[in-house]
Amino acid sequence: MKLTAEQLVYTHPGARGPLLNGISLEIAPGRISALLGRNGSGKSTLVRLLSGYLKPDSGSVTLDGRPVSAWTPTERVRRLAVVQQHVPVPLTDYSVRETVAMGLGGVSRLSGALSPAQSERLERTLELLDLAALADRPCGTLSGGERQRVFTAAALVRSPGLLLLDEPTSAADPAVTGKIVSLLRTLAPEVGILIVTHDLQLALDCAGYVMLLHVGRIAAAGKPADVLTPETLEPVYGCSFRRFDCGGRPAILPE
Amino acid sequence: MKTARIILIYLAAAIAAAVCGVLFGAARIPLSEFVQDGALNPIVELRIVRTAAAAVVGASLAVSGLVFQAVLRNSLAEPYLLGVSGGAGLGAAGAIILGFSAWGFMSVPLFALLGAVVANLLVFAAVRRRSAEELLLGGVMIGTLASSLLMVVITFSHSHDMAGVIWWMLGSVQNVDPARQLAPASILLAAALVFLFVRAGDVDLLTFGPEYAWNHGVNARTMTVVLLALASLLAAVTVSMAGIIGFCGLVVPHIVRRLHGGSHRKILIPAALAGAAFLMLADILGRVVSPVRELPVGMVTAAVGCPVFLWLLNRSRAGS
Repeated sequence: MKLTAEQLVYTHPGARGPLLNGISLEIAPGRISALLGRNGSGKSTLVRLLSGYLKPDSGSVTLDGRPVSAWTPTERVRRLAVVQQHVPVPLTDYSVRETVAMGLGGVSRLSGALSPAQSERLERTLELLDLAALADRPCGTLSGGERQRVFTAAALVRSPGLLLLDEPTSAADPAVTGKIVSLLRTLAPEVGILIVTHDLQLALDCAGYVMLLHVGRIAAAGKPADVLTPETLEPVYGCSFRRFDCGGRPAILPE
Repeated sequence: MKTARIILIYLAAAIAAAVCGVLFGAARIPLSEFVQDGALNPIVELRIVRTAAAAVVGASLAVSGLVFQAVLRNSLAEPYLLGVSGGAGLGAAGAIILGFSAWGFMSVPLFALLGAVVANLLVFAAVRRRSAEELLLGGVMIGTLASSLLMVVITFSHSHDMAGVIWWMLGSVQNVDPARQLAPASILLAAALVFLFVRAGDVDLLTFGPEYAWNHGVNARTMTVVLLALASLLAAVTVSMAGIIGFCGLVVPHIVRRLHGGSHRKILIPAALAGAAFLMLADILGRVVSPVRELPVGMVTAAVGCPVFLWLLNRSRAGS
């Protein structure tokens, strides 16, 4: 299973110039990729293009060799799952279990009931993301970090082959971040993962491949140790960075 | 509470309201006189038709409101958005004032339906991006324009025509034709309920926004347009048959959602039954409170719906 973007160009309606200009990348099982860049650099827009939600001005996004828009919605989401950065709060306050179950894609089933296999998968996913104890709580009563885990569970519950996560740990505490990193590492051999993040340390700890988005292009890409250096980061972020060794583990911080 | 139990409670309420609708009215008819010489008492027959009409109109408005609120993610969304009430009002007023009502009983409802559908199509044609927010704003604009034109038409009309238009705008289930209006509206309601029950999962996902729905396998843009068109059609058909009845489509789905929450598969039928019961009771109130010149049902729904809604709003806020 593979998600490929070729020479993507995208301009927001009404904008003077393109936000993204010639982006090419590939997501495939066996590797966690991280996409970094400044606020407003187009990271979330790129995720929307990869998911097919937005159409590029030019260039293509293919899922297993077929344009992403050519797949039926059901076939597409069986292969590709996306966790958005911001999910609007709905009028109806669904429980955690109901919200995660929506990810199973049983949306057109007449009865709305889950099969035994789906129920088992649902419970397993709730356990995996430490949500079992919260399963019957309305989502409206959860913290931002807990809600983020619920939406991640709703994406993971259908066992996708490819997973795009937009800021998956932005509202998580260090313990939860650690669990999510460990979960992604467990999934990585069979699932192609792209993480969009501002957390340089998360990219260093978790990713096998890092892309730095700047002024509409991939300014640098490669292994984290090669890309996440003060020399490549400073022109992008406009501030100084210091890289150091933290108990045998590389770390990088803005100065 | 289990879905089946919730449905049973609402079904019992709707049946009780329907029985009251047949039993009570301006004239007192003893039970022994319901059937005379083997035939149904004509007044009872009229009551059955108007009670059935109230049930279908109430259920349609509640279902329409449920869809509008879910898809537009706005608790103030109601069935007359997207220009339905303004367009229908203009169509009906035009028919009355231009003398088309002389063409026959069905001319005013048909012109109202035509006005609602035209206003609705104008909204879909004028809003190019067709996101929920933009359709909402487009609907408000076209609705406002149609209402302004309606006021112009009324201003230049004769006083006897004006009374007819105003009575129609206040809403009534008094003169519904069972074969030409009630039957098609019932079929539309049944079809809408089946479609929405099957696609309730899509509606659930759309409440999280179109991008979330897309990411979970819903063709969000198409589904948004289909659902809004269906909800508008339900409202347009009811408005052509019973005039503009406010509050039912706003208050009923809101209350059912607050009381039971959860999936739209769970609250769809309760909302329809609650809408039916609410409008049947409002119609009975209008008949019983003022038997000589009965109150328009739209006025009763506003008078009852407004305080109930505010009470529930404050009660749930205090609870939270």
